[in-house]
Amino acid sequence: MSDEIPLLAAVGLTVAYGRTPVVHEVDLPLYAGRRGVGLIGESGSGKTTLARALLGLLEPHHGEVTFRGRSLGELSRAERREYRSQVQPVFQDGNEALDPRMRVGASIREALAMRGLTGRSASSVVTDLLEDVGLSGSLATRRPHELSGGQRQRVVIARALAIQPRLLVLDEPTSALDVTVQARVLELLERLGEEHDLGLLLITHNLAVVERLCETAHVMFAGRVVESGPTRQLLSQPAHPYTKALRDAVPTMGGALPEVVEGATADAADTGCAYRLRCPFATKVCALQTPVLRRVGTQSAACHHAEQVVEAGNPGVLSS
Amino acid sequence: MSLATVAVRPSRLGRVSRLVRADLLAAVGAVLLVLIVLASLAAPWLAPFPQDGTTATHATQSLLPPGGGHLMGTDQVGRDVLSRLLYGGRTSLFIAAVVLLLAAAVGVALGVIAGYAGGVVRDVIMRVTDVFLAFPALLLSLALAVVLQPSVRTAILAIAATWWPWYTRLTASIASSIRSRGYVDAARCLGVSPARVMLRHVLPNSLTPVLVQLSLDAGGVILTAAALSYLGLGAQEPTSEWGLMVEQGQALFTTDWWVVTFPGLAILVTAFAFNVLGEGLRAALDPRRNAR
Amino acid sequence: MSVEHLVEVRDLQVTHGDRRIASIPELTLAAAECVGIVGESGSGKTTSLLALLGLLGRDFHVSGAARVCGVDVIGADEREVAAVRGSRIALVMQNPQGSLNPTMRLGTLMKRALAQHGVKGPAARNRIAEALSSVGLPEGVARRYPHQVSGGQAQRFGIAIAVALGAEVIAADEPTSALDVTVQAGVVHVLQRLRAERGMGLLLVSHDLALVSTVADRVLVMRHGEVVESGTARSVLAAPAHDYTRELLAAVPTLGAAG
Repeated sequence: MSDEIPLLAAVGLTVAYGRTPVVHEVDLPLYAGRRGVGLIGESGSGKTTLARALLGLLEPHHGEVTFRGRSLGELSRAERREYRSQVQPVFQDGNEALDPRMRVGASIREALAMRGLTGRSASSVVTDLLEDVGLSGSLATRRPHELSGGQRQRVVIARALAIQPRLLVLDEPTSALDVTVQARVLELLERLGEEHDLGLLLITHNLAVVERLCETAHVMFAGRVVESGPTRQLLSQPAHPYTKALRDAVPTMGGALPEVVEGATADAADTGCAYRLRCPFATKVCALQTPVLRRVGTQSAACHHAEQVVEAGNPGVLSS
Repeated sequence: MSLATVAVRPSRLGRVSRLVRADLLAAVGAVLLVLIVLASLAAPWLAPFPQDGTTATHATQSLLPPGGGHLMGTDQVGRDVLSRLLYGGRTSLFIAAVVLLLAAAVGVALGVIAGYAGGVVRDVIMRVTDVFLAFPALLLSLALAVVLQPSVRTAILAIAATWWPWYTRLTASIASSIRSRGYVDAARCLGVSPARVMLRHVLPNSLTPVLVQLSLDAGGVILTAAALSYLGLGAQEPTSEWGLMVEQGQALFTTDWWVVTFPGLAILVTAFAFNVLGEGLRAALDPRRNAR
Repeated sequence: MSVEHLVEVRDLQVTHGDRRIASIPELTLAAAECVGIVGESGSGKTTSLLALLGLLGRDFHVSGAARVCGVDVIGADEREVAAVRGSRIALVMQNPQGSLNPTMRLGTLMKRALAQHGVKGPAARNRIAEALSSVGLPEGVARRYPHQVSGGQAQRFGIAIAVALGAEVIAADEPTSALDVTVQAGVVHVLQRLRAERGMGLLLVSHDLALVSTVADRVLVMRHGEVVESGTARSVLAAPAHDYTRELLAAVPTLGAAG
């Protein structure tokens, strides 16, 4: 895995709004083809900013985003075109991912035109694409507001596929949808990933969705990746207290009410470990030294007390 | 139910016809405007005394009250007010149309660029805009009139020069909010060039408020043109122009009310028609209005 | 109708024009009990809740019988319903920040709410302090403006208002959907504690079946305005009788389900 040059990667990436870094020295390699990678974080964790930087929509302040090992800023015209065609976003439905004035077909055709497909041949591809995501080709003449939320999300996926990418960056792709609709969109993503040999970067706050679609996962807190590893191990035996808190906070069907640490503030600390203010494992060292990612079993975690966390992280919740 | 099925694929014509049904007031405005425009265009045929609209004067028939041969009476130099009103419509509507076209073309283009580009580009464009906004229209016209001959053309240039910054401001704020929409990001990620993103996505989605603003502004432009004419910087005698007629007639209001009243009414009705049409357009052009 | 039920609904029907939006044949809520109303968008769950609070607009038609704390909220005139609302049954909304007036400090907001129900001066101050501590908020929060507190704090504050007003029933409409999971757990704990310590009844409207299953005693599953299944939370979730409930259960992404 480490010998292969990643298709897309964040390398020591820092993005700041004003003087506050929102993404802090993040390393995140993404490989092409049928691999799901989850990026888990709550609001304000910096996950969406990281995604926008990976998509070339934001300039990094330090570090870089690389495409096939070359910094985005240094790509030639042809390489840049290559980058645009291989990495495609799927944004959530909430923020008008489709132009409200354009018919669905025109939105998809705009993507096809970037591939040099226009005219009649494009029209038949539009139909194919719509059918591929489980929609009728006749929807091409509709405008976004005439579709349901689930249909719109499928169109967004179809548009992303139109340019035949190798990697989809999905930012909360199902969060705005009803659960039954969400389930079908997830199914679709699973199938498309396999059929098109697609890599998926799934950015979400929903652990269960990551567990279902992603082999590996990264957890972000306060702009940093605090834990990375194989999804199953990461969720069953978290090595970072935040991962553990996230997992334990998810209500399970028919289970007991999740535990909470009372009295802890939700703020991130400015010095030392950002998580220490709400961390039950925190000691003096956490205030003095910012932990860096280090190997802990199958995962890497940025925690001084990772071994203790693993021990405490009895996977009782996941017994089913 | 039949409405819902129509809404599935709304043709442009279908939308317009639905607007007419849905918004009676806007329809009234549209009809009024069409009548006003047609009447102005047909002035040479409709005017009872076509020569009065241009150069003729009749010293013996000055200030005749409405009735008899003159439906709206005559002015100080004996010209038929109705004829001058019809000819004046041509000038006033022409000024309004050209001013708004110029102002909107420049203003919207700069606004879209400022809003989409952001950063330094936006700052520079907005500062230039502020400078123009700081000049009163009349001051700028005075300056222009010194350089150029006072005429309708000078008035048009002067008004347009002070009007466009408003459209830049309006468009820039809309465009910068549209820039953060998902569909703009999606287009950028497809590798669509900035110029195309602006033309295909940002511009069309910014236009509705501009269009509404244009129709709301039309009355104001006619009034400003009138003020310029009064100062001798706009339309010149013997050209007919509504503003000019009002300014010439207002001193006579207590004795010979018709000279000022009819052109005043014409301005009022035209401004009103543009206004209600603007409101109607705002509703009709919202793509989400016919959602269900 | 018996007195021991805080909420008692029979044959509640809400229509808009000729469209039936929600219909609930039966619903009761006893003290300290939690009834979950589960469904997706358009199921009529929120509409039903608003009907109980008398908050639906005039273009909605509500029929049937609904008593909240002994008051018939359908038949009674608006003033009576308004008196019940707040002092007996309080609404907690999804977007806490959006439901608070942004120009007022939280303490001022709460004082106004109390003053409207005739509580003023030192009595109001005591109630506010007590209500804030009951939802785990520090007293300093009263000096902040809505935008200066986090989503979780704002939601706790919304619940604190209900406590301060002495509400016996909390009607919560997706109270945690806009919150992060780690924050959600804290808010749910507050609601649970209020049930246990004060005997408050909780009507919990949510699309999150897993959440409802950890909190509710009984569950109503709604779809397209109809109740498709109801019963104890345990029986409905363990042995769903209706296809839709089964579909919902299968669709909920749960941890540990994969592999």
